[in-house]
Amino acid sequence: MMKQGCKIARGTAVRGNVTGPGNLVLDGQVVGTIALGGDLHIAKRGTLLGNSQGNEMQIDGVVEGNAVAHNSITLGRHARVQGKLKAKSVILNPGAQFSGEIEMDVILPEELLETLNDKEDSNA
Amino acid sequence: MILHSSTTVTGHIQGDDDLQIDGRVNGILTLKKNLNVSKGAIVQAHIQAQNVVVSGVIVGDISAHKKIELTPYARVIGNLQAPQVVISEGAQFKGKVDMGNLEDNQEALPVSPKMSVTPNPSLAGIEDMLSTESTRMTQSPGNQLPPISTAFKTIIHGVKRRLL
Amino acid sequence: MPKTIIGKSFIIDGEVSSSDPLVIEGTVKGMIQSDDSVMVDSGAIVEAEISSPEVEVSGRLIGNVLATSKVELKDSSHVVGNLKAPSILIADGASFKGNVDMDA
Repeated sequence: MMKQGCKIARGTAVRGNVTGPGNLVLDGQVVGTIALGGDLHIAKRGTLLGNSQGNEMQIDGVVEGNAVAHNSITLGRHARVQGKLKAKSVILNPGAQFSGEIEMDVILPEELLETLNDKEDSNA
Repeated sequence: MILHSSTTVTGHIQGDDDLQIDGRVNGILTLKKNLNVSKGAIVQAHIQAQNVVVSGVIVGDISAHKKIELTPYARVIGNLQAPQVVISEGAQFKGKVDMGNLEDNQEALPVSPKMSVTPNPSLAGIEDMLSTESTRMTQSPGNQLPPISTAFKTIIHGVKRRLL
Repeated sequence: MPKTIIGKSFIIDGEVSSSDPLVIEGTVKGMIQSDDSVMVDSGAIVEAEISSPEVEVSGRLIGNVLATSKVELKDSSHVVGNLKAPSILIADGASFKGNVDMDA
């Protein structure tokens, strides 16, 4: 069954919070938060100033804020993003502009884990 | 120059040519050209180069004049600074990314202060990264060290070549 | 003109302002403004002031409506609020409580 979707067209601006279990396509502007059970697509001319949360995210527009995805966050070549991105997989395509922090799980070889643990202990 | 998979270099590597690392490096890399960290390589270093392509493991900050690319096999913990950063699907990364000023747009995004990642020429910060094994190792007479091309000046504390 | 569609299970808490036609199938609490038209679908729940040239309501609305052209309350609508527009149509079956002002 298709999840109910939401589309915010180019000429629409939302100031507030948007929540929903389905997918959202943002072609307009949101100042506030977006929390979805489904996927978020910020289209090329879409703008989000605020935090977002979703299953998978495709960002082709402007985002300033933190984004947390259950699966992946992909920045397309027109993306302009500033904030912290957290997901299983974060993909920055050529042309994407990003400034901030990325957090994915990084599996390091065993021989490095000891070194890192020592570093953390000495920094603590 | 290629640092082969059986080689471990500890120290500060400076060079005017492209460098490919297949082995292990601990320390600082200051390169005028390109760096390629291969799939099996493990690098614990602060890196500065023209272009950096990563397919192996890097723990450390990377600063590139042009582009940093993390291929699907890359495993990186550290901060990235370059005008262009590409992270492919499959790559694992944790750290900050700074591509410089974001283009102005209608919304006038405030720009975060540029993060300057300048590797500290002194080795003080990474002493704890150096393995004690390497510093003990001295060049023994029969040891065949890989020839270091004149394009590279290497200040090495110890070069350990592991025989497989 | 592309429409903005607030999907059925979506909740917007805040202000929506648009030059596009707005179709509300979900829940909006706050304020809704469109330069084109606003349609409150039969399953929608709106607690907001609505301002638009044309407004059509088939769902639940608590809030005032200001339309420069016309307001239409369909038979499935439940509206509590004041309506102000030069043309107002309230269908048989609509549930409405509020004032009507056609002196635009």
